[in-house]
Amino acid sequence: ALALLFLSMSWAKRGCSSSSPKLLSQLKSQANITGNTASLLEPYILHQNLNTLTLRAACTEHPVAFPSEDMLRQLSKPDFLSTVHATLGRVWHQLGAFRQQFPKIQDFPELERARQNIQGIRNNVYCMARLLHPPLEIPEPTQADSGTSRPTTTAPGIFQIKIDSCRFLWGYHRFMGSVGRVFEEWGDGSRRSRRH
Amino acid sequence: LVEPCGYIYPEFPVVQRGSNFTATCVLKEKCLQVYSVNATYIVWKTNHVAVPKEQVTVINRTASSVTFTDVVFQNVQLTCNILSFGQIEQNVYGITILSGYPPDIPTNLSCIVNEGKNMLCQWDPGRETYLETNYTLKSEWATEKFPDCRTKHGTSSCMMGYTPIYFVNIEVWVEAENALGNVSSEPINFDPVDKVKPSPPHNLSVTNSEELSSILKLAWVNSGLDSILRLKSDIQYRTKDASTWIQVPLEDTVSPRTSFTVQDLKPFTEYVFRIRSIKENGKGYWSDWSEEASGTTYEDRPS
Repeated sequence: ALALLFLSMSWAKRGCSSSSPKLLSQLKSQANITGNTASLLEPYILHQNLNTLTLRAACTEHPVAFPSEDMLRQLSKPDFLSTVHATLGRVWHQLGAFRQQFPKIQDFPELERARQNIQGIRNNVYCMARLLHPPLEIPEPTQADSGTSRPTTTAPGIFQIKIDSCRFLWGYHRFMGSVGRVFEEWGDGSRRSRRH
Repeated sequence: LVEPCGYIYPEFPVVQRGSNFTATCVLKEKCLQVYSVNATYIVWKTNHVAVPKEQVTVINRTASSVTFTDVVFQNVQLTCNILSFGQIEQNVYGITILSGYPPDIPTNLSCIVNEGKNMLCQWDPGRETYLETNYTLKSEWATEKFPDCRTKHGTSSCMMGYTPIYFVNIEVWVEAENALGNVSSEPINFDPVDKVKPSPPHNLSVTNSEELSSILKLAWVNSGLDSILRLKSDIQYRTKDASTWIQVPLEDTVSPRTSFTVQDLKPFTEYVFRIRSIKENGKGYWSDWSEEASGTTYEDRPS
C-alpha cells in the first residue's frame, strides 16, 4: 500500500520534514496520543452507554486482530512502516464506517479528530519512508496485517455493532501503543534488532 | 435598446501604473451616414473632460485612438463622443480604465495556533496594488492538500477552515492574484505544535506559610494542552502598591509544573502574582497572562 502511495504521490515533495529525528519525535508523540484510550475508546464507551464492568470486559474480549507487538518488532524498518501505514489505512476506513452509528457526526467529534490524526500519522510514515530508503521499495504488508479482520458491521443488532466497534477501538489503541514502543526503540538504538 | 454607434477597445482595460495606454474607438458605418460624421469628429473625454488633441490619432474614416503616457490615474471614465452634424455632441461609448500594480510577492508569512482555534496565518502583502487583489493561503502535507483559505483585497491574514493537526509538518504559502499578475510566496514548513499559543493558566491561588514568613506558595491549572504538550511557566509578582513586576528567574520554572514557592519576600506584605506559559522548548508563543492573584506573607514571629 505504501509503495502505491509512494509512487502515486510523486508530486508530494512538499511538506515532509527533512529531519529524521524530528519525524521520529512527531511519530512518538502521535503514537502517544492515539495509544491513549481517552482519545477515542473512552468517549465511545460513554457515548454508547457501554460504561459497565461487564460491557467493558466484553469490549476487551476476542481482540480484533491487529498486528501484535512481537510481530511488529520482528519487522525490518520498511516492513514496519508499510504495516503501520496499511493497518492505519484500514482503521481510517473502518472509523469512517462508524459514522453511521451517530445521527450527527458533531455528536462524537472525537471520531473525526481520530481520523485526522490517523491521516497525520500516515503522512509522517510516508515521510519517514522517504527518508529511510529513498526510493523505498516497500514490500506488500505481511500476512498478519491482511489478517486484520474487518469487524462485521452487518451484525444482527445495534448492540452487537457497538460491542464489535468497541473491540475494534480497543485493538486500535493497543496497536498504537505497540507502534509507539517500537518507535521508542528506533530512537535510542539500544536494541540490537534486525533493523536495517 | 439603442444599438451603440461604435465601441471602444480594449473594453475592460487594467493598466499598470507608469506605463502607456492606448484605446481605440471604432464607429459603425451606418452611423457615419446617419449623423454625417467620421472619425475626425470623435471627441475623447476622461471623466467628462476633453482629452487634448495631441493625444488623439485618427486612424481611418471609422477609427480614432487616444494615448495616455505614464498612467497614474486610478479609476477613470473614458468616453468616445461624436459631434453629430458637426455640432451636437453625442456619446458613442464609454469604458472604465483601472490602473494599479501587479501584486508583490507576499513576505514575512507566519502562523499562530491559538489554543482551541484554527490556525491563523498572516503575511506582508507589499505595496498597495490599487486593484482588486485576491490572496489564497495554501496548505498541504506531503500526502494531503487542505482547503484553500481565501481573503479579499486589503486583508493579509486568513484563518484556516480546518482543525490544526499537531505533530505533522505542514507546508503553507500564499498566492496573490489580480488583473496584472499572480505571484506566490516562499513556502514555510513547520509543525503546528510549534506555533501554539496556549490559553493562559487559570485558577491561580496563593497561600502563605505560618512557619516561613518570607514565602508564598502558588498553585494553578495549566491549559488543557498540557495533556499532550510540556509547558513551562513565567511567573511575575509585585507588592500590592508597586507598579513594576519582579521576574521569577525563568531558569527556575523551565520544567512543567502547576505550583511554585516564591521566596525571599517581606513578611506581612501583600503581593500580587501573574503567570503565563509557553511550550517547554520555547517554540510557539507565550500565552496571555493569567488573571492576577494576591496573597499576604505571614507575620514574622517576635524574636
